[in-house]
Amino acid sequence: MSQIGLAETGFSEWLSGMAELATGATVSLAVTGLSRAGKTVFITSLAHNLLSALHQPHRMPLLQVVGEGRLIAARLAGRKADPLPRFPYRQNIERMAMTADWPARTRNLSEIEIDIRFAPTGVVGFLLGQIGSGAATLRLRIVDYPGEWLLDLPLLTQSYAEWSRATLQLCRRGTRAEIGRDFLAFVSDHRHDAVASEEVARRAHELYRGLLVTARDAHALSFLQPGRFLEAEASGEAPYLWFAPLDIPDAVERPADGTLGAMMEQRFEAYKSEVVASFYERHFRNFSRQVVLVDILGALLAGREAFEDTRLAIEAILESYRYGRGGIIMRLLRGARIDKVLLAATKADHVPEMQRDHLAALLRNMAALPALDVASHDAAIDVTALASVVSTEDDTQEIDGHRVQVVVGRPVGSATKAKFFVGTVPIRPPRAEAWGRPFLNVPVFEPPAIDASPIDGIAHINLDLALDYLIGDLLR
Amino acid sequence: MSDQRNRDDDGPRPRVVTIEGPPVPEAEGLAPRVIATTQTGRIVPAAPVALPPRPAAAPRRRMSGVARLGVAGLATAFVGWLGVDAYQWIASAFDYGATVGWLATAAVAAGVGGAGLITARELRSFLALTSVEATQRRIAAPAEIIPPSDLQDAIRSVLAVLPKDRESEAAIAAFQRKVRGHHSPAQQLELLSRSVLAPFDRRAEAIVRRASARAFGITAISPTAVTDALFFIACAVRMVREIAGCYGHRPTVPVTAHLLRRLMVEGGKLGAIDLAAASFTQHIAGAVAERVAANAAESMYATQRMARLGLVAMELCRPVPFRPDEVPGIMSSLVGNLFVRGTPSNRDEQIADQGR
Repeated sequence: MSQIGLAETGFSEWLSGMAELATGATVSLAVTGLSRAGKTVFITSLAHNLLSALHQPHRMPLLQVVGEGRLIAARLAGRKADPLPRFPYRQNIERMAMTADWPARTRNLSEIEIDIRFAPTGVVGFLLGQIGSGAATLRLRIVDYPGEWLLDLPLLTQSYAEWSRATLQLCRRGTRAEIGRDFLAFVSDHRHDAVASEEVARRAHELYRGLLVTARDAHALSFLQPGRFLEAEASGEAPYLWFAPLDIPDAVERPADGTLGAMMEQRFEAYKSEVVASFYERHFRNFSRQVVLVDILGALLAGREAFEDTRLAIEAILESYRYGRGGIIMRLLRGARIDKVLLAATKADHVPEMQRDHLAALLRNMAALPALDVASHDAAIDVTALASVVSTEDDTQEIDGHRVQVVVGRPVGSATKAKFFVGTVPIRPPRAEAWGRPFLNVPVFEPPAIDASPIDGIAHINLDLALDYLIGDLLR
Repeated sequence: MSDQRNRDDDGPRPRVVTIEGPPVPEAEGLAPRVIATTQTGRIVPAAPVALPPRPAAAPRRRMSGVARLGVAGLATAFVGWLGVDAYQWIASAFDYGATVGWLATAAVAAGVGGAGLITARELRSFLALTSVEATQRRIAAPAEIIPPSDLQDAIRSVLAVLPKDRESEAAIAAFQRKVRGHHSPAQQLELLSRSVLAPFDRRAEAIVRRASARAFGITAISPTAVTDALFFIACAVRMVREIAGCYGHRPTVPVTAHLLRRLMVEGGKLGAIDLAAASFTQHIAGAVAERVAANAAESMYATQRMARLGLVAMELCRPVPFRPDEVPGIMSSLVGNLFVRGTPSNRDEQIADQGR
């Protein structure tokens, strides 16, 4: 870009910054993550630490607006006229503080808005100081939703035939082939060109849904579509949900009318338009920043297939968003653009301090390809390891004559503490022969002692760094 | 012939020799596990530690209102005078004919355009220098409180400003090979400083050595104190421009002026030491070595002063501040490199190894 072009861009950014500051800007942060990646805890801890930052600035020193003493106050925004259900921040904090348990799993949409009042720097700060109170307000808007729903996003670009072929190909490999034996047998017995039957469709749906639930609960797999099939109510009385992939040959573009395949396709398309598209159109408008939370430690410990599955899911999610140019979100929403992405390896407190950087390095390695795609669309992308809430302490333990680093915490519901030895966290995915046996019993440690009032904040790892990367430039 | 074949058969034949790798430490092979303890109680996180505050940008000293008004008035008068003069000149040229008038207009336009280009160039180099100084301030913060994104920005701007030649490009490539995402900010900065900036430091030290030698010679042969001072200042300005160029700054007039101004401020801090050194020189000159020794001692003193100015100039121009163990000493700058040249430190390899 020429010097003049750079100057023009800089000037227009400055002007828009001025206008946003004058009117009170809003930034929508997409907290993206698969189920159990820690989205709800991330939002709760972020809100609590921001609200507490006035009284306890040392919890968020690397958020520059706090570190430089420019934060005036942060508070929860008032309710809007037509709001989504409000994110249960207070209930979550009280649950963590009083009952030493984690917030309940997210089952529906909710929204939280935080007004951050701060003293801007530079020319803008000077001008605002001259003409007004010298303070600006940034509204941070975050939407919480079940992580499973996110994997529905890639369906928007697929036809039923394409989705069926890709899904069955996946189901015939590895663990899925074992746990989906009944479903695969059913699919082989019922061709796509058979006569449409409500009973067959429902049975196929139930068997497929059983496969997805077992894959998630017993094998920690995560690339499971459609996401809403994993909810208990998916087996209810909503006929448009009664579909499943069928064996459709490559030569067939669309199943013929009146066949089982056509019935499934109709429901698949209805699911896409009624559920998926409306969800994203209504609630995913105007996201400009995105954090992708990944429980990479859980994926690593769950074995090669779970790790590979997580990689597929991350790729599918990141490829579904388009950063700066047309894509699914852009097509749906006409104008949304994410210009900054942070990939965050969560639950860093389950790893001794010495190995925490390895989590970030491993995630960087895992998401290398989609990261290239993001970066090539002029969006900034970075990787970090974080823990929204530190629920452990570092310690050592002698195992088989070796003194090793462990973390100590108290498992939820237990009276005594337990030490967790995580093994060696590699900085790149292990070679095929180096994978150990899957370890699925990663302990769920209870939250630490927390003050429910926004006074002392919550101990975290790199939450301030993540927030500074995501919205720090808007707080200058 | 058969004897020959027999002798060949006796020799070593092609084969594959299996090498046993180093034994894997058993601790690496330990499987993850949960170990029950008898400890009770909740985890109580430690109170947060107050980090040292980030260094705020030094407040800019602004001219007083009267001074600003004065400067604005002078600038208006100067530009107005030039404008009116150019207008009159063009108008009088048109009196001789349209062709002459248009030629004069073209000449004035060319002059104004050229002046604008030169001003823009000078301004750009000055802004580049101030952005390097901003990077220096960012990097000078304690490594543990530099956000990674800031660090990446700072490293990118450092690499952008350095002059590109064969040696520096090789050093940058080596740095990019060595640095890894899991290196801490302190390690990344140390690698940058040692891998990339070391060749520039060597060149800058050579400039300081040459300038010091010049100062020695000039002071020795200069007839009066006034010529001493004039020659010394000329040498110092030349050295500062060369050092700025060495670190990738274009030594234009505003850049040189800015550096000299900062050099004077930094140099002022050395005043007390200079005073002691001067009295020591006079003591030697007066009491022990009489006149002959006086000249030699003053030359030595000028040499030392030039070297010290050179080191301060290096510190000002270097995009990454010297780490405590990297600050070049006067002796090493003057003579040290004569002996240590060609023995590169392998410290950067050690840092890279730590991350593997």
